[in-house]
Amino acid sequence: MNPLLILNTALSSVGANKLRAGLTLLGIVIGVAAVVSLMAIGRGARETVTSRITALGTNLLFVRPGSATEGGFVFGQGTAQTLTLEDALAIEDPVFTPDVVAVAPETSTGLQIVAGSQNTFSITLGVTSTWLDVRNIELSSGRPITPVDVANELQVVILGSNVAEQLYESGAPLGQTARLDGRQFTVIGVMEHQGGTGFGNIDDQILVPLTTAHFRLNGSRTPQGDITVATINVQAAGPDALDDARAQVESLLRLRHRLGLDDEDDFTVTNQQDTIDTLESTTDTFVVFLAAVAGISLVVGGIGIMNIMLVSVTERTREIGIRRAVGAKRRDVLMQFVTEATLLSAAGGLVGIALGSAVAELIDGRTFGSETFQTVLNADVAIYALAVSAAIGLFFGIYPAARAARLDPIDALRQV
Amino acid sequence: MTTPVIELQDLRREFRMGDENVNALDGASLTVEEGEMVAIVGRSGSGKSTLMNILGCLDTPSGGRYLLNGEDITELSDDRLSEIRGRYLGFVFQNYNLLPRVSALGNVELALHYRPRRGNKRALAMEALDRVGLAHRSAHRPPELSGGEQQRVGIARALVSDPRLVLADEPTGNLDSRSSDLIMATIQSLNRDDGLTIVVVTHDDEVAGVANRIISLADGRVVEDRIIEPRIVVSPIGPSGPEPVAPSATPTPDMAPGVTAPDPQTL
Repeated sequence: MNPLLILNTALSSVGANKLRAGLTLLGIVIGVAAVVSLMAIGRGARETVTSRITALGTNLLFVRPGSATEGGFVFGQGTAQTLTLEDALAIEDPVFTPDVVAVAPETSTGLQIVAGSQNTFSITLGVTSTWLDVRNIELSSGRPITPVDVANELQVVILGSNVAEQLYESGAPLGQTARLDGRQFTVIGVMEHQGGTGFGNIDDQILVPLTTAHFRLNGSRTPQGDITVATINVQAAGPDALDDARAQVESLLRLRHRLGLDDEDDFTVTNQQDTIDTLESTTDTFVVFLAAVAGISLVVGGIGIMNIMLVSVTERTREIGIRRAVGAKRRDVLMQFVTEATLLSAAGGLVGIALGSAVAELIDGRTFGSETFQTVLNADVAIYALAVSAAIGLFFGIYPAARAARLDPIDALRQV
Repeated sequence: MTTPVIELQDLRREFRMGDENVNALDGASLTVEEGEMVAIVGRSGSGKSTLMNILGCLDTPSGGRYLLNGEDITELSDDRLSEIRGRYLGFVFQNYNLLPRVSALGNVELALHYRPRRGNKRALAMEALDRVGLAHRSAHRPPELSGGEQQRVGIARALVSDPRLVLADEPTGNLDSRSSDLIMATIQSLNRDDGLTIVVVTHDDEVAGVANRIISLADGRVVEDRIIEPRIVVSPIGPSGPEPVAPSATPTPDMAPGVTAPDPQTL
């Protein structure tokens, strides 16, 4: 029996009972739709994260201090106070680091900021005039921090967009005063909304001149008396120069920190890609987990198919007998029922893909709570979903089909 | 003499009924030559059905030998038996056994599904339907056909594959006498005009009389085997007497033997 004929027979058998076929499909449809839409949401989340980080500029290196050690107890990375303003200035010198074009050191301290009756807690970054350019952040209003601000330790502040909204509901923060650690600061600018969530979201942070932060807010020094910094943002000449720049920064800092050949680095250098990789693997894990949960409903759908195929075999006993009488081998009967189950399941898969895509399309760009969902549909997910649903039909169709094939033709023909 | 179509030697078939063994066939021997039309008669329990199942390669004997076309089918695999059914045998059932959702043409075509592709299946099926006078009803499904028409579709299905042997199990058992005569006329014509070898199982003497040989079974053995002068069935359909349930305006080919061209199929 040729494959086309098998397919044709299966199609007409499935078509003969449309309502039942439709209901049987439902399980597979829902399962596949869930997998497809969840994958789309997951991929969208991944894309959002990636694009946010990429927006910072892909030429960036972040230099952070290593772990502090106290009595054999190793603290988290970045806790040591080994990175200084001097280091930042040295990195800026093209003699040692020809592939570095700009350097922006920052200090970081958590402070309560008060404006009138409003107040909020925010990470206060002490920065230099290069910081905004290096981090590729625009101001929505006001002016940046200038070398003059830094040289004179002026009490000026640039607000993240969320902070500005929270403190100044009237919407005109420029020229207003805000209190930081009991001191009066003048708001000179507001950063553009960057998006992003969670810890380290720039929209929740504020910028002050680095010197102001050090001398007037919460400065710290090394035992040698140097000003310590939390991060040195280093901009390389281009994406291709990133590795060279990293090597140059690393050897310069080892030299400056007097590290011997056997000593480990007391700082770490990371770049955007590292951050992207970490976040992507996190979201990937999450997405796979979601898809696995949705996949369970596929299995349930498969059991539904098996159930209905068993009913179908019982109902069509006589048909099986007739086919056997006109020359169908057990194999032919087996093939027929397996094909039917697979066809049912694959059809469910197709409808599920359509439904899942529609749901993903519907969610795309909509805001639920504080999150704006972005969804990304990929052909590969659809192909996998279709393949998996067909495989489920095949798997759950085998048992009913085997029962059909085992029927004794005489008994089958005698069936009323 | 050519090879007999059927040769049974001391055929036995045992069934287990609880602790007891029942011999449905207890040493039946017979030979059917090509071109014969044989009626197998006997009361219920005589072993008719069991014999029919074995002749149809749907069942295998527990003892003795069954040669079909000279091939010993006693020891064959299920797959090979299926092949033999598809290639050499045609079945006509008492309850027609048609697929209810499939057109008459589709039902006839079904008998060609499970064999290697050969010629245009649809055309062959149409030809077979025409042979039983139902070409004009080819698109109808079984529920839309009368009992007699359904049985003629069944006959078309049995002959479409150009079989060596047609087995008819009580072919008129569910029909009134008028339709019965038409069916028997059709079957007789297949034998007399096309030379098909036919075995009919029946308990109806009228039906048995259409054959040219009657074999009687009792207790699983052949008790009588005689050649008779067959009753030539005249189809009741005429200008004044259409078939009662489904009137058919076109005359059927089996009413006018000799007009029908011989089956052009080649094996």
